Amino acid sequence: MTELLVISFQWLFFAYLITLNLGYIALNISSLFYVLKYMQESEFENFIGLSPDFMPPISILVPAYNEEINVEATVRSLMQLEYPEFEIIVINDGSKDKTMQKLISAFSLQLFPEAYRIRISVKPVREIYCSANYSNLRVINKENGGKADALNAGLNACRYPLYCCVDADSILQRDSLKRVVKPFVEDSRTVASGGIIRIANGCKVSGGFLTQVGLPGNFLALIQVVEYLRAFLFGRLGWAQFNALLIISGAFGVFHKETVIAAGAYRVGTVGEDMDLVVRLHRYLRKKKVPYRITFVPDPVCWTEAPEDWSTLRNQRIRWQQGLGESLTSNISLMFNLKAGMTGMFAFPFMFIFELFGPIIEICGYLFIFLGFIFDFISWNSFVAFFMLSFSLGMLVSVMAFLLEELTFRLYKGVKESLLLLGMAIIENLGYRQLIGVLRLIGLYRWLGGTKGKWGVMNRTARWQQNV
Amino acid sequence: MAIFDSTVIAFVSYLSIGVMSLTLVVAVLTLYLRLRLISGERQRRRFNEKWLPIMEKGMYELPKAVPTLKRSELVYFLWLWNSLQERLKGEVKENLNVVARMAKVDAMLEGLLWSNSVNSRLLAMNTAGHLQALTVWGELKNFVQTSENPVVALTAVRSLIRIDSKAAAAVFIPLIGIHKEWPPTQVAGRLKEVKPDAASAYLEGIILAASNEELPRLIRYLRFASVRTAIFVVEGLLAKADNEEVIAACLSVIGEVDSGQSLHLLRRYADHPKWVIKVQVANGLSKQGTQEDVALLLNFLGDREWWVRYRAAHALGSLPFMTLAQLEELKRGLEDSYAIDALMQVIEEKRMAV
Repeated sequence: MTELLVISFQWLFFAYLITLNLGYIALNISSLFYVLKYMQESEFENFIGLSPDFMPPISILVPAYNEEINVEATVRSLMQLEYPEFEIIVINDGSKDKTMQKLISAFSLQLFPEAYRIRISVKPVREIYCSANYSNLRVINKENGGKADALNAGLNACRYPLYCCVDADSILQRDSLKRVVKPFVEDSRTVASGGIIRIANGCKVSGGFLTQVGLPGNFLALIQVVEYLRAFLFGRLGWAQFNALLIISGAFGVFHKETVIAAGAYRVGTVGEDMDLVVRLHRYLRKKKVPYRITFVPDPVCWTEAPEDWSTLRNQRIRWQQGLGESLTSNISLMFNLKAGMTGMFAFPFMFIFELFGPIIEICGYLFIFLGFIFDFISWNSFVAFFMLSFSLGMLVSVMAFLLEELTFRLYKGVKESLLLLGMAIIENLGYRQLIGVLRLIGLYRWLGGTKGKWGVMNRTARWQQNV
Repeated sequence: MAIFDSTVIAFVSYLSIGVMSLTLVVAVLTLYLRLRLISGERQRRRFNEKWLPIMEKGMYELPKAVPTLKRSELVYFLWLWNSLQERLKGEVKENLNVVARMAKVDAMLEGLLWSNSVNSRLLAMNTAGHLQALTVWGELKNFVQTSENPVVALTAVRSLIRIDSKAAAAVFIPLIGIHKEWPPTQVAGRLKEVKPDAASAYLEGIILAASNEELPRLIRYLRFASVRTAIFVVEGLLAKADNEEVIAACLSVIGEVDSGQSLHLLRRYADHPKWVIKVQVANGLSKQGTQEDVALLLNFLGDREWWVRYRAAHALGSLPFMTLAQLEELKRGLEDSYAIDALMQVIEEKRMAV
């Protein structure tokens, strides 16, 4: 019996490794074809410029909790976005630091008697401010209720049909709105569109905008550059082509307001409100039999600060895994649901099996092989062969993601940068990914234990803001 | 204790070696691409250093001769030349055309139009437009009529308009009704480049032939027709329309283009049960309303729908004769708390704007 169990687990681990990585490689290849075509057309379109006519007006929602370091720079960069018509709504979710005071003094905020419409129930709004200098800036000061509650408060105040959520620590490209709105303009079925998030550490920022792309000096941040490339360049783009994208990062995404409200808006009390919303949109629109598109643009549109210390990274990844668990289980009816198309038959099960419960198999597999070798029931040959397979597949996937970057955006200039990133694509598989696997396992454990999520507290340095 | 048998281990080992080798190949390919990119950029820089001064000088004083342009340099030339053309206006553009003709670009253009690279094809089309190359009119027209790629089709439209805007209108406007996949922003951008008089008849034609389902999408383009045509078409549509989307689209056009002659149409829909229509009435009145419409807008302030109240308050605030004091006076006369909230917000906005 024990022997059968051991053999079964060995095969399970082997099958897991092969299927997961084959899935990634397939996504990578499909993204490659798509992105090459996209690049050809968008390069020329960007050259002649996009016409501003008929671009729908947008409300930009910036939920902020203890963001005194970044909030002013973020709002200033938003003010300079190239877009015909937009409003900015900052939602201060009961910050305990000086976020509100910073906003009041930086933008000459004045109390404003807004006819605030409560379409979604939220924690009490204390007051609403409007900038005396910028007529399109409003700030909602409300009691703390979490990020989802803050976004819902922002949704109540939106005046436009589309809204864009932006994290208060994000830096956008000047033309990012135009690019992310394009799918809405080109296809009226579009209900959500996301863009690629890049790491701002090591970059230079001036006047609220990124002026020079650079690689971070910090090892943890550097390794996350490759990780983000993998996650965004093919992870999301790959699924988006099949209308099966299950996550649009909360750091930057554009949504059709009425559809989001009809689907129940943001679910309060979740850690991963961004993923939860997108998965719910799929479920809601499939159920209603409404034709829709949830899409993704590969352009680098948003830059965010990655954790540079282990403790912040640990908290972030644990939180992400909790969020993943909440989002998937609350929409479990999508699992192997034929009516849900690619989303139900492939994307959802892939996320559920490999991303949510994968860490159990992965970490147990490593432990099993390692302990088997120590206690001599796994031979040296098996030990080496399995670790080699695991590492080599991981390296291939990371290097392919980097190839995709080299074929398309080539943001990091110079041979030195290329070599450094290639090095990272290899090194990250020799310990870092396994460590992240352990963190995901902790996140999974906490989620199963029912630990409630809160605002993600992150130690920010915002050093890149001073790199002028 | 059981372990994998040697066959499986051998398979896993060979698989790992295969994957490692593939990783190495991809890594080398990535580095090769980087080196090729750097060398390409160096070549482009050298090309620009040679040709940019010639083009810049050529804008104001035509050169007697220009260096021979190699086929391999054509794309570099076109990027540089087009980037200057996009920024310029007036006579200098024509001088730049002469420089291109001296470099025999027009002769090489036709070949590039059929290039496998979409980017090169788009660049060639754009160049043809700037050069007003009538010789490739047929090819460009063919792209508009047959290309399934909206970027290609609408770039060809752009060039046709540059060559002959009137004739281009006849080619592309009738196709707007058919090509739902053409992005409205791009279509609007092209329509803006055609004179309203040249676009009017064709826009009227596609709208009158459109189905109810298609109408809301197409009616929006009426703002690029002459005011007379737009109002004539909208009046005709409103006379028989019962679809709320069509009515809202028509009222939106009236709000955009009219200078007040169609106020009666806006007022006619003030009692419509659908709020989306009342919102359009309020929007239209914000630009054209008279003293007579104040009562109507005050009535809207008490509507059940927030958007109607909000737009009505804005319309009241936008009326050209409305002062802050008058708005305050109107607010004092209100009893409905929702109406007061909506108007108070507008008063404050107006006060802050002052």
